[in-house]
Amino acid sequence: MREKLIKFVLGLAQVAIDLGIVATFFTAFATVIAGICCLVSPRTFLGGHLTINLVIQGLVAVIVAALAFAGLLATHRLLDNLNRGHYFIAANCQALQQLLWLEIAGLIISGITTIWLRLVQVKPFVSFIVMTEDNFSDGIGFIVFLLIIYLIFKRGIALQQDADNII
Amino acid sequence: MIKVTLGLVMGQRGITSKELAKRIGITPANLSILKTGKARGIRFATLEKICQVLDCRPGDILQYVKDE
Repeated sequence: MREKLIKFVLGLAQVAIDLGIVATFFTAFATVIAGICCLVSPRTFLGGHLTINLVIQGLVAVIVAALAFAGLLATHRLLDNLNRGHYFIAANCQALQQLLWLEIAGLIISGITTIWLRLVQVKPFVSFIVMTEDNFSDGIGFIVFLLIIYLIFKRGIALQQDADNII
Repeated sequence: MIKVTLGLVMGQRGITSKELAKRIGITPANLSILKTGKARGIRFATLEKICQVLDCRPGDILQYVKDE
């Protein structure tokens, strides 16, 4: 009963992650298309006001979406392994490590973008490229959480290898 | 140190590694690790099956040798 419940919850999480993958892919795709349209015909889409700020914001948006996409793929792999009962394997540790680095990169990129936009006093074109105080503390909390989970998995893999060496 | 003399007992009983591995339910690769003394440990269940198949005692396949 308990195992079935865990499988059900993991399955639900996996569906949510898969939907997130699709949504993030389309967000990145739409951002690229919008960026191309603005570059090709700035007069039609921006009233001729194509600035370097907008180009940089577009690039940052694509990078942030790509990071989110990669993070969701790593989460998908992790959940898939857990759902199949493969807990302490190297692939899970790699997925967690990847998530950790992606979260750090996302935090740094959106942090730099936020500071830069405040310095030049420009409103962000898309909201997800900037960071609020809540986003920052949530991001730091998530990094710490991922680090703890990563260390637990690393120790678990070492113990599993030890157990596997006993015949 | 613990010396594994499984190969010796297997030779005396005339049983091959492949057959023993099959009868005790482990892979030939793991049996080879066990035979060469490279395993970190042995489960009681595995030891029991080996003793059952080879009709021997644990002391026949595991020996304590004093370190020099």
